[in-house]
Amino acid sequence: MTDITFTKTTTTPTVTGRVADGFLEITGESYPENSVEFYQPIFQWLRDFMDSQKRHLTVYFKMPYFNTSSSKCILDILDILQSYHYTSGGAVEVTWWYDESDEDMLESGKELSDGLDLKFLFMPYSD
Amino acid sequence: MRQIFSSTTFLAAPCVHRATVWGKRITLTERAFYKTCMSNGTPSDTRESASAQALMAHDNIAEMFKSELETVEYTRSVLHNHTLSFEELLNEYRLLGQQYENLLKQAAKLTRIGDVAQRKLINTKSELAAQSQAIERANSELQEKNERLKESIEEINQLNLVLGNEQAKADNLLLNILPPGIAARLKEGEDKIADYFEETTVVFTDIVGFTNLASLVSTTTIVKLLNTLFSRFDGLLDHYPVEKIKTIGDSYMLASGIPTPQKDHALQAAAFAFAMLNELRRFVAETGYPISMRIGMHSGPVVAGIIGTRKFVYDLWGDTVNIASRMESHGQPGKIHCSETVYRELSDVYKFERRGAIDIKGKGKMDTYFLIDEAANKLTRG
Repeated sequence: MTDITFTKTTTTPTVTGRVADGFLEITGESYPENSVEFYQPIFQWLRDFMDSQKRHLTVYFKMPYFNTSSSKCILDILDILQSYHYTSGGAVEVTWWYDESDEDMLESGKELSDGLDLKFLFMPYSD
Repeated sequence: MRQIFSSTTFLAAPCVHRATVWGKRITLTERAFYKTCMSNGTPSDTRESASAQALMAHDNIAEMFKSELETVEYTRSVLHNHTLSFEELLNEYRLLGQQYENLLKQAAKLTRIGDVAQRKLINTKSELAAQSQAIERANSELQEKNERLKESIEEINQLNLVLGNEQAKADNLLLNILPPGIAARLKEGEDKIADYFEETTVVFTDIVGFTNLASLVSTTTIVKLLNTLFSRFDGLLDHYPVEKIKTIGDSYMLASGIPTPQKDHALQAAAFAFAMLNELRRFVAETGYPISMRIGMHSGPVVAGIIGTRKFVYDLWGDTVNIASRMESHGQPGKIHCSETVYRELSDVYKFERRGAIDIKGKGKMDTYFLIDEAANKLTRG
């Protein structure tokens, strides 16, 4: 299994997945023309990690804006993480970073985390 | 198994298990499931399926909702499976209910997140509108300031125009009392100007009969007379390359070879002296005043310039000035009294009458001459 890296574009976030560190980070605005096409490799990377690593995974979301289809993909990622959480015994930690002046993004994060049993942290940041 | 999808039997089945298996949420599931069951195998089922496929074919939606579509397809396959027992059917129904609940939760989350995003958008629009208004106000203020600036610029331009006119007047005044080159140097910041000129000719005139006239007419009349006569001399300056230095009472002083050196300085000074005599004759003929004029000339080096800080006058210093003045004071009415230096300069051009040696104060005896014959003037003037 290899690391995953997507460079940020106008419509897609930076994606960094490091197998050795057990770390995945998605940073930046997300409104790609085809969200599934963009997020599919991330789904696959997570599934591979779950199948091959079976250890602690830290996931950072730091997304100032995402469109509706991206939010569906984030939900799917969280579903995968939730499954991993059940199978790996709580070895998943998600941090939802939000601009300290953007209460809406905090609210979106809380909405997304609602009903999940994962360890879900909310961290403000300032520019 | 076909008979279990009859309306009465099927309606009863989910309701019986609702309270013990799925709780309240099953009510929605029940309705949806009932609807699906009732439409099973009918033309409307085909229409809904086609409609869903058309919707899913749009904008990669099918790919995004792949698992959900699989659930739908699986549901259809269950409905078409006539071999399932009632217990098996209920089990499938339970699993589908759970799926439906999960989907409902996801739908609710997406709806709320969409609402948050929309609210954010609306807030952003409001902020943009407020910013737009602020920009409009700023633009309006900027326009007002621009207008005021324009007015200020116009005022400044007007003042500049006035200033320019005043400057031109001042320049003209300066040029009236100073040679142009000297005025320019003064404007550039030189505060003391004293230039040495090796070859110049200095001319002094004095009105003869003026003292008697002054006792006969008023001072005002005398001043008017002098003004008229000297203005005529000033008029001649435009035609000769000589520089008026100043007037002292009824004396008119000029020089040639300054501030621009010229080889024929003596010739030009002599020509101007004759022109002054001719002008005086015309003046006497016109006014009848009994006046005449002595003219003295001497050629030599001078220092020319401006000294002091007030009431600038372009003046000359040196023996040449003193000797020219002596030539005038020792001269005779209607004649141009010259030093030997002038004689040597102009003897090829003008006729001279030798006056002999006269005692010049401070200089001793000097040979002097009268320049008497203008007709011998070989100058060609325009």
